[in-house]
Amino acid sequence: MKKGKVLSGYIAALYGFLYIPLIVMFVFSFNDARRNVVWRGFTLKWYRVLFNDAELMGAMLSSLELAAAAALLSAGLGLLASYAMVRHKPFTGRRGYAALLNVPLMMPEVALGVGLLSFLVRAGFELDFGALACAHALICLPYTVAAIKARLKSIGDANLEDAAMDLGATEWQAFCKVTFPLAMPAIVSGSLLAFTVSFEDFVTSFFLAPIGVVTMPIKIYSMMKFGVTPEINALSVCLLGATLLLVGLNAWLASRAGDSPLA
Amino acid sequence: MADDAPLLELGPLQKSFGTSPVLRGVSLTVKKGEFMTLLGPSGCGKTTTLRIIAGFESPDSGRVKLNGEDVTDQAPYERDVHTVFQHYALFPHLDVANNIAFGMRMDKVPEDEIKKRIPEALSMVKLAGFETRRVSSLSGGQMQRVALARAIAGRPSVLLLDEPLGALDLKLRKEMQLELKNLQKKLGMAFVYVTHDQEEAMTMSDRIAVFNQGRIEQIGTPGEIYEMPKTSFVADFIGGANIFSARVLPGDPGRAHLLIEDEHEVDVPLDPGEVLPKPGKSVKVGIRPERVKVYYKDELPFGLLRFDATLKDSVFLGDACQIYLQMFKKAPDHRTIAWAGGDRYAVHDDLDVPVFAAVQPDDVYILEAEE
Repeated sequence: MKKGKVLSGYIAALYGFLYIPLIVMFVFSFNDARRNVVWRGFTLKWYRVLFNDAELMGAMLSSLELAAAAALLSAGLGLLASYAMVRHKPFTGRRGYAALLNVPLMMPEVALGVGLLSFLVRAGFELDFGALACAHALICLPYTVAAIKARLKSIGDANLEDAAMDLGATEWQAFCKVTFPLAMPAIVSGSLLAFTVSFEDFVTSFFLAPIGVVTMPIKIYSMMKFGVTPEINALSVCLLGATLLLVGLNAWLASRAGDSPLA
Repeated sequence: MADDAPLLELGPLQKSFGTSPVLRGVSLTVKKGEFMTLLGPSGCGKTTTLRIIAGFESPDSGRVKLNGEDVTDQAPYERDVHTVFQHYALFPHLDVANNIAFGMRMDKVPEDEIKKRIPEALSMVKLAGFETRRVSSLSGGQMQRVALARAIAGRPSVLLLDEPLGALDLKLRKEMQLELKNLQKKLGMAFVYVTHDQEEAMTMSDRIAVFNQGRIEQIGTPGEIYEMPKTSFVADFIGGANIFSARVLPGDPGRAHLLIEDEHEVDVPLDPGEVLPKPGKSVKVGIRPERVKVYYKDELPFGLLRFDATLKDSVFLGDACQIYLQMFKKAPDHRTIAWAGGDRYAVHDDLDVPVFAAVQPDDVYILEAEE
């Protein structure tokens, strides 16, 4: 009995540690005061300020564009890489190849950022939006590959491509008519994950962002130099809401994919 | 093409995965409209043979000929065969009608023809009206029927079935066995059917190829396989058998004079064309448990082979009774199994009583020679 109490106390503390800052942030985003310490009454003005801030909205747009580009790119590459690993006869170095795809997950992002920066500059590439999007796609790739590979594997395990080819479909037709539509939920859910990863990425953008491109996390960072204002709180609440929406959408898609058992 | 020319011709197929050989020279022919079963325990090579016919695997050596044409190097989609997979492999994103139409669309069958053939195929498998049902809403038995409808709708020359009833419960399986057989007769389509269930094979097949360790031990009709097994594996796998080793003694032509387990001398007739090793060599012989009769008194009908035995154990199984006999003094732990109908021996309390075991001479099968 006592042990149960200690455990639930511990869990309460753990969740408190995780979520109280978010709640504080949420509450103070409605605080009618310039400074963040004392509660002065309810207001929505910081949200108004936020949406009227042209610079901030520009940063939001850049981040959205960047995340969309990175998600599309990493989903496309992830699909190709997964297909190669799952459907093709074991090729030399396949395990190394699979491990290599996961490297961006483990490598310190600072090292990746520095490495990419010096590589791109030395190789004579222009540091533009495209280069940044490619870098983001690179850090997103492990997420899309993980999602898509698992799905392709279960499609293969259920002999569905075999069945299509047995019924007269060429490999390409089998891919278009069976593999791709069935992999779609995983492709979408992997892309959503990639979108989130790219959207909140700071380090890589910080190293590689071309002049004039300011992403949301970088903008927040520069605003923070003048202290945590209620405006930043309001912005963070918006971002949190959007992220929760995406995570929820992702979970819903994943459960729908689970609804159509392959075997 | 003459009507009795083989539709499908395999052989001799060799195949290894890595260093382990899976097929060691499998040859087989299937005639038009024939129900051929590949029967054997798991890992015997029957499924690999089926996958080679379908084109999912290619043999290391040996050819596959379909309708007289060598298809060994053709891709699965170029071959006029369709497969019913063990776990159905229905497309979950398509409804029943579109699953069935899939193969016909790939073959560029005109849409109005497809529209006609879908209900036809569905009524063949007794699922009329299921066109718009989603695959995920079907039971296992219904999925298997849809898989069957999908495979026959394209009217292939040969239908391959990979343990299609394996995932169904016993009662449904029995029903489906008879239905499959009727369907096959009605379609006049050649079926190549893979199973490890000997009863299933006996029920449905025109001919059975018994596989063991990458080889075919025997090919024949269910009757031939049962009544004239050629090896101890076949005798034991189909129906079960008591296997003994026996020495060949000099005897009359057309008959075999054998000394079973160095103890019982018997004289049995040979089948026409059956060749016996030279006197002094050893062979395996088999006797089916249901052909061993047990007598308590010396009242045997004339003409039976007679063995003195001791009743060691009996197990009541409801419709039959399994009796364990000790038949050899030199091998006291060797048990010969006999089947008796009813419960006559089930209630017997005194074990270790002397009895007589008797068999018809032609129920003693001479199997492979021993080294």
